[in-house]
Amino acid sequence: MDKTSDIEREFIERVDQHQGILHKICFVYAKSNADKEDLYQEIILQLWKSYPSFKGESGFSTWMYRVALNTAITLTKKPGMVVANAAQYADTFDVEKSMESSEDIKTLYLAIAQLSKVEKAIILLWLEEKSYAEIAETIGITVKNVSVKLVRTKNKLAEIIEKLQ
Amino acid sequence: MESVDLEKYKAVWKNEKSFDERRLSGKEISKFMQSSSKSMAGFFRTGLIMDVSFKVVLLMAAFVLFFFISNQGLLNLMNLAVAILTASGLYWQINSLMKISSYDGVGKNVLDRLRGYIDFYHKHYIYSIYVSAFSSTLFFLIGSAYYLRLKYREIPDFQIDDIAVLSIGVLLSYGLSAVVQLRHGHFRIKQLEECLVDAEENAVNTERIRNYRVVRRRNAVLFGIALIVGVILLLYLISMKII
Repeated sequence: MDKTSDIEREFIERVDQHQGILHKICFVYAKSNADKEDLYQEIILQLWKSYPSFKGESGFSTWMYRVALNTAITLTKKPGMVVANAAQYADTFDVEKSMESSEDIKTLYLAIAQLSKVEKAIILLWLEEKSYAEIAETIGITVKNVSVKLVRTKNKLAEIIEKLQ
Repeated sequence: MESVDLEKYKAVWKNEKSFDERRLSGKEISKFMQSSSKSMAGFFRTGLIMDVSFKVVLLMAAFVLFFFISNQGLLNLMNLAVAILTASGLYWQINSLMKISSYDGVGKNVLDRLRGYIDFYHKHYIYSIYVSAFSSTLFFLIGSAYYLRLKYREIPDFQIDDIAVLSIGVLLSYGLSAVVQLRHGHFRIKQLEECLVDAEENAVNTERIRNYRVVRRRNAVLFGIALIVGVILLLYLISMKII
């Protein structure tokens, strides 16, 4: 087996083991099944392209979060492909199918869908129990800014959930 | 003040089983690794590569045209000018293409990547759109020359109505192409600018984006004026039988 194939195999294995990160990011950022497919594809492609730069200093999952979030935030829509209202796409995404277990998770999905891309990233990292320093490093803002933004975003999320209930 | 217990939702999130499912097979992951990118860098790269390829075809067409109109000295001169313009555009766009990777840092943090894309758009890509729109004009001019050569066996002297049609063609081919590409580019970069403003509210970048927008509008006006002046000059030269 040549070296390239070994690297490919190792990469596929690692991504396979950390699929949860992909599902979570797609849950937060995808607005439809087509979106989800595009996002999976783009994240895996970007992970693969930047895999040679992964030095292993931070854990694979930390690096994967960074690249995946980067990709999700910077993936832009073409004109005519923007859905303005979260309620419009709530039906098109198969939340019912994939989230049979809990009403709360559906509520959380609908509420997160109404946040901005940066707010989604902050909430996602908070839900994942990342430290302020880790959030700051991933997004590229100061720890103080993270704390201010997190409070504001959590308040906004709570308000949306309250309205949805 | 939070009235909803978000910690409850955090617990729900943590215990959600569907996140742990392995929904993608190794084969699918492998397939996605080979796919083409829909990222902003991919958008820049595809746009530039498509236009560079188009310009190469136009350049070849302009060279072939030399043989067809070798006995029409002034037209040959015009054709040479078109070929030089195409080659210069090509050189400029290939240079921009080489610079994309230095702005596309996947391993960087979110804000650095956003800044990289926005800077590349405003410093290189937006000018590339103006150069790229010129391909449509060249296509129109070279295509017209071929059409006239095939129909009349040589390119006839232009009458005033021919000049009007040519000028309208030049204006429309350039203007439509530039407007469509600018709208498309602005639409996509605006989404990134909004993210950057959202993340760095009240920071220097908000001011920088505002400056970029002012420069963008100013450039559009300048290019519009240059185009109109160019067409008027062309009309004048043709009517004076200088060309």
